[in-house]
Amino acid sequence: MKGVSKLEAVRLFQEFNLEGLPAVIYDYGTRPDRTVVARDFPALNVFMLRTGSRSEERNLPRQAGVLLNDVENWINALPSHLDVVVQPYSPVIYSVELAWYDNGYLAELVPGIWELNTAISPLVLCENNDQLIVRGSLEPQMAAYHTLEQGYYRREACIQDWAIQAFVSWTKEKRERLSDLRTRLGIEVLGLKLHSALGYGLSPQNIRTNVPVCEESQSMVDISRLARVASINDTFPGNTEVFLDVSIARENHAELTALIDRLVAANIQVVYLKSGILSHLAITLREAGLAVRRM
Amino acid sequence: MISDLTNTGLQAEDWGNKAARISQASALGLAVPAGLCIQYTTALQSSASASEALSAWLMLHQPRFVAVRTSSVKEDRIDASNAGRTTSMLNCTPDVTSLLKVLNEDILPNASYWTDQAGGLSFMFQYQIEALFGGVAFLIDDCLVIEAQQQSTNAITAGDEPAIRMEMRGSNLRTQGALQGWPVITLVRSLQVACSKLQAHFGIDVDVEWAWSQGVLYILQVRPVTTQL
Repeated sequence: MKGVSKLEAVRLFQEFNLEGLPAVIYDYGTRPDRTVVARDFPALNVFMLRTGSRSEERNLPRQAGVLLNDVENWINALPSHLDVVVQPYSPVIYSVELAWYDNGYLAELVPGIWELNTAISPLVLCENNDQLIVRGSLEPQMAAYHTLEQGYYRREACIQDWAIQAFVSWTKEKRERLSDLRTRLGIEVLGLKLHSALGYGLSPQNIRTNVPVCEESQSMVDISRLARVASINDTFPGNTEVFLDVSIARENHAELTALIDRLVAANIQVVYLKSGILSHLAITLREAGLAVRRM
Repeated sequence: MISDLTNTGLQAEDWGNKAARISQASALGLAVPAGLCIQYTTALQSSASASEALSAWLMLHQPRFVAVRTSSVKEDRIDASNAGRTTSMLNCTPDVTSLLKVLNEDILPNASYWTDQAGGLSFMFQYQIEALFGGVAFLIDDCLVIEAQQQSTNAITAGDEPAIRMEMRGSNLRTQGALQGWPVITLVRSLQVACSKLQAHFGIDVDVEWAWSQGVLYILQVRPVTTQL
């Protein structure tokens, strides 16, 4: 099926009572001024602003930590066709990519914010018929965070027990609603991007409709047998599988597109990632027709 | 002889392997339940001393229950574990009369097999941990395998089906079982540190019985891994 836009996703989260971090959508036809935002978010002064498009667009503008007084100016500077999603600003503690199946789920958890350029290995939780498997590295990794005081910064972190428990509890509590949403969308696998927002808990942000069926039986791969692509300029060896060990900022979509084009031209069929099969990078690779597997 | 378990490095030839390894684990900085060790000959010949020491030890530690365990050089060996063959008594009432009754009626009648000509047999009166979780961990090379059960220190050794199984190879974790309510990462990290210290100290792959109580990992027993998984 075609994708679910950010705007549709927010409305569905509200309808299915999955919303954590509250959100208000201002359609492209309505540009809110300061008083409207203040009315919709009483007593709040700092916001997260995201945008949505009704056509296929990537890397849409967004801004974290916008003061109420600046919201109007930021929105008015947007291209007129973009919708705006306004949410309270809240630092992200950890992020999750969730694939929800008929009989279980696969989730990838990383500390901090999970962006395309977050070169980080997730902790993977896979529930299948009430059996829960955890796998992944426990080593601290450089995770990305944002606070009003420090802006974007990185520090070593790893997923902790409380985060796992909070996530497992969230899935139990929302089980029916998630399944109902999957049914509504008529898809085999419901993909959700979530983050845990300070003060609000787990909050779905986007819906993905192109998530593959769980391949938990897929075993860990011997990294030494794979050719490693460490830079976007690397050439590819003659075989059809590579280990892609690159970090590309979300703003540099052109670089990623060029890299994917070269992968396809080189007849690469399978790309192994450390970052997990639900990561942004993996999604983009899959959309280009490449099979993505986890290291 | 009589000795505290936790503040002295007991030797296996005098106190048996269980007591010696636990006391050495304590010396490595790992948490072990407080305990009092009484050698076989002392228990047989000097019951007044045993009674006096036990009385003082109970006053100092005030356990809710006491575990009475046997420690022998003939068990927990590299060539043969004899796992589970020595006598252990759990949930013993913490008063001197009761504990000596357990020693004399339940432990000593079966003890002579476990001594050898040089001794190497003692009895451990240990603070019984009220465990939130307990289980067994094997560290073989760098592969850590953990099986655990709730609210029990001996369910896994007793052969109960583990509620959870965790396997750590290098830095990669794989767990299977009911995850909810388990501090998996804290548990794995704690056991990895503890087992690595024990493996390095004793120079052997280790089979460790452990308990988790109030956020602390307690080492209950250390023996060599005698068979590969």
